[in-house]
Amino acid sequence: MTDQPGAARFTVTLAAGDEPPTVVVSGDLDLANVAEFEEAMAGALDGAPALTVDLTGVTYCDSAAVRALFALAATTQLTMLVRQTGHIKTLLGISGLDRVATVVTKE
Amino acid sequence: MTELDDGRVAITVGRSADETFPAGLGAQITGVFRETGDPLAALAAAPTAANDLTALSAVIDRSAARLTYSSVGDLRPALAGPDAAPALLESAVGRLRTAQLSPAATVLLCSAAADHAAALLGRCVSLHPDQAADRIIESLPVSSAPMAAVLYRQPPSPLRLTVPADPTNLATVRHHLRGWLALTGVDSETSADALLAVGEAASNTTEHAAAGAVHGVDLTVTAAFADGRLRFTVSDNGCWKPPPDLPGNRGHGIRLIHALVDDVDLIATTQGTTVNMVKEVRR
Repeated sequence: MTDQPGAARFTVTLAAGDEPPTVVVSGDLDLANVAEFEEAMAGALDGAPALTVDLTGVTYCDSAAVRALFALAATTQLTMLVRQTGHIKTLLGISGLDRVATVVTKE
Repeated sequence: MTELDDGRVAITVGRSADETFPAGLGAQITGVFRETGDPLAALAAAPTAANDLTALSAVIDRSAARLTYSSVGDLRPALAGPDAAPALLESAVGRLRTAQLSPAATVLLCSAAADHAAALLGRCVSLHPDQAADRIIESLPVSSAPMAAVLYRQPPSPLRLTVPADPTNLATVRHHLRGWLALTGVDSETSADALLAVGEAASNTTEHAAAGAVHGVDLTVTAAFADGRLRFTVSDNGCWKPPPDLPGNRGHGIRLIHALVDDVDLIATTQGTTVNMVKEVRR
């Protein structure tokens, strides 16, 4: 993936040894990289009943990610870490994701 | 500061020798402003001499991008463009002067000594107006006299951008839109809502193009800011048949757009699809 000037680069990593497993995402998350996000979540989950997704470093995310998170929340106990302010929290509220998963605010 | 009937904005900043603005004088100047729309007349009609007043009066015509000003004592507006360093405009003591405002230009009218105005504008020109006000206050010496400052930003030129309708170009669209939104000076929440609404509409278009396996489809995004409204269009020239919606799938995007902007209008023809969006900007 090439760097876009001004846009934060998308990264997704697995925090080692966390219980439940935690996926840490940062940068802009959209249709171009949502598959990578889904793969990382599925890989981290690896049969576990619960997953934490840390979205505090996400600078942009749209309904592509919302769909992926809804699909995961249908079968998994999902916890999302988000910033106190910003559009991610708005997005989770509008989409109703905050009603099918646990949202924890940081800062 | 007052809005005239024709939508122009009239502003007066000033101070008397004892560093205050005499009570009642502001209302008096505003009254003449409302009648004449003329900064020179407004200052001439006020008993400025009796109050030993230094004042700068200005009218900003947003649609004509024009600043008209006059002063009693040497107070001058400071002007900076997106590509031009902050500078003081010509002195207009006892006369009327006019300056053209380029797109995204910032004007500072300030009751402090004229040479301070350009320096203050230099410290805050690249900031969002909310933060700029904080920066101006921070920049003042603790001991300084009370000061009035009015910061105005002219809307930027409309944005128009065309890219191939591919998900890998969504980041490019957001990059340009982020830059343009920063020039408008709208608050960060409004900016984030607009970015997400446009991003969502653009994402839908690229998804349609991919699902329909249609090649050579272009995605065009436009943005404009006028009369307190942000207007966006997201359009494509694809003439595919929209794929059937998957349950619980596409609904998120559409619902999101409706929640984020004040008005949404979707026009689908055989030549392509256009989404028009309007976002009101809070004042």
